Amino acid sequence: MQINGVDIVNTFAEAFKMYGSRVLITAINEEWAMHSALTVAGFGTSVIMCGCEAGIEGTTTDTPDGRPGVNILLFANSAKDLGDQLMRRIGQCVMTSPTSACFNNLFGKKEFIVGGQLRYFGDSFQISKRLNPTPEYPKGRRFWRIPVMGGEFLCEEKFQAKKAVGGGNILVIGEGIEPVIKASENAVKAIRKVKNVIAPFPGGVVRSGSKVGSKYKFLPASTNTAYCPSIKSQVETNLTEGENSVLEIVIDALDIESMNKAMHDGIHAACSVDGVTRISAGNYGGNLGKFIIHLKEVI
Amino acid sequence: MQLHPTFEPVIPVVAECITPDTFAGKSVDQIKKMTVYHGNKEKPLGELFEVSDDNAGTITITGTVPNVKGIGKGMTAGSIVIEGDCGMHLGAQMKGGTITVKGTCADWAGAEMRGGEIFIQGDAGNCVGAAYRGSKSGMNKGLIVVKGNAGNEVGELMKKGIIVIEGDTGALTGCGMKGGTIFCYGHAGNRMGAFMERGSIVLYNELQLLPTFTHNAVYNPTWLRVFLLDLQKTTYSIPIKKAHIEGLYTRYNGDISELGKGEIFIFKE
Repeated sequence: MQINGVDIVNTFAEAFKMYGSRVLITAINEEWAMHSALTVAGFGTSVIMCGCEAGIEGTTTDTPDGRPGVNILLFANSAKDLGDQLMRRIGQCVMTSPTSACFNNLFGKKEFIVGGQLRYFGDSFQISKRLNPTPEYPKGRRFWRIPVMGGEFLCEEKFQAKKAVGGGNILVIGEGIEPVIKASENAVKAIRKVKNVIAPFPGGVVRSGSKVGSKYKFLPASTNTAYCPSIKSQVETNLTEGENSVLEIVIDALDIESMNKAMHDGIHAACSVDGVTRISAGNYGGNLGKFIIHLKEVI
Repeated sequence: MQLHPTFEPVIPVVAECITPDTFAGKSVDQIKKMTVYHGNKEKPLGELFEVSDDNAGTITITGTVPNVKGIGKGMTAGSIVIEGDCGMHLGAQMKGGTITVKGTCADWAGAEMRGGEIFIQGDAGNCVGAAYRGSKSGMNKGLIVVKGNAGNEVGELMKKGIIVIEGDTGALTGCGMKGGTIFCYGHAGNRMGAFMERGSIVLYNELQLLPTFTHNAVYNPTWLRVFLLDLQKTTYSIPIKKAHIEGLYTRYNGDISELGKGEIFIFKE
């Protein structure tokens, strides 16, 4: 199967069950909301070392306080890990950011107390406010007002999480780094237009894809040698003679439908660049992940 | 269900049975037999009201009942519409549902309510959302909106919930408050917030505060933006202007003769 002359490899991406949350940060203007959001999403590329995977979903003007806002999605392997990361990141990156306020922006079955813990920073001067019950919030939405040097930090007491899909991916393979990076940029632009989805790596792209295991006993994962062009002749390679660069786009989504759409849009956008030879995907033989996403089905 | 009063409003009537909960699943005849108190006499509801079923799912009182007490008391769901004035203890201790009064309402509207909404198109009497004497707390969740003026002791000992008075309020608004929020758009009476421990009162006119309230700062509170935008979504046409959401408020805390963690915000610009 081909798109614009680019081969779509008959393989599949293997994705995993994760937990996802959406955090809405508002501030006096979009610039300050974005400062805070970028900090929250910082160092959030992979659950392996960062504790969670995080990214900016988009900006919005539909916010509880009427100020400009930025939505962030955060994903972790377990609800406990996600709750822990929300506490740390909102405490250190939103409460500290001038004029910011922080709201839950997702309904899910898991719930974490965040504002209800951060309130103690108020040193007994914190104040709770609760809106009247609604069908979405049967007990009423509760906020904590924490006095800070810049005024007041408003934070929702509880944040929610739902089961999500993490680790969807596409591999962009080409003749050299220029067409591959251009195609990856196009793919990430298309993916970022899809709601409920993030591409958590720098610029949405990862160059150091990994395989399970290593020659070193202490290392559980190592570089994906089958896709490393500079050692093609030394390993069992998946690359052909003219293929000299591979980049991966990792996608996390709040549901499988959004993941499929993101992969569809990403693949089509990546196939618009000359010099891209193939689109493939990373998997572990289908043995590890709950979700198997066949490329031929999503396109 | 429609109730039309057929008695002269001279002797008070206690009609705590007029709630959607007690009417639910009952026929017109069964409702007519429900007990009310006319002065010190026990009477069937049908003797004082014409009862008819309009299949509307709402209890509508098609007349003025200024001396009928306890309508909607303790209700948990459904809706009541009173097309004229109504008597004391309207929606007292209610837990859910909505009550609309198109006229005025006597004292103790929404006293000790625990949820639901009361909308009064005209004036309200004293002790809106207050605690009964001897009780520890007044209103604890819910929303009361009064389009006209309200009497003394609005939100006395209030713990949670929101009260909006669009007209003037009498003395001792929010006295002894423990939580919740009161918005006063008209002129507020004296001794506002006396003995309040916690809770927030928001004023849109200047007021001479008690000396036990201390000035803090002038700023635009984010929580107030959230609350005002939420109130704007209701169907009660509360006069919230853009300036109220984006403008500055002066914050005072008090009553420092008590815990001192209550607050009064006065809209500045």
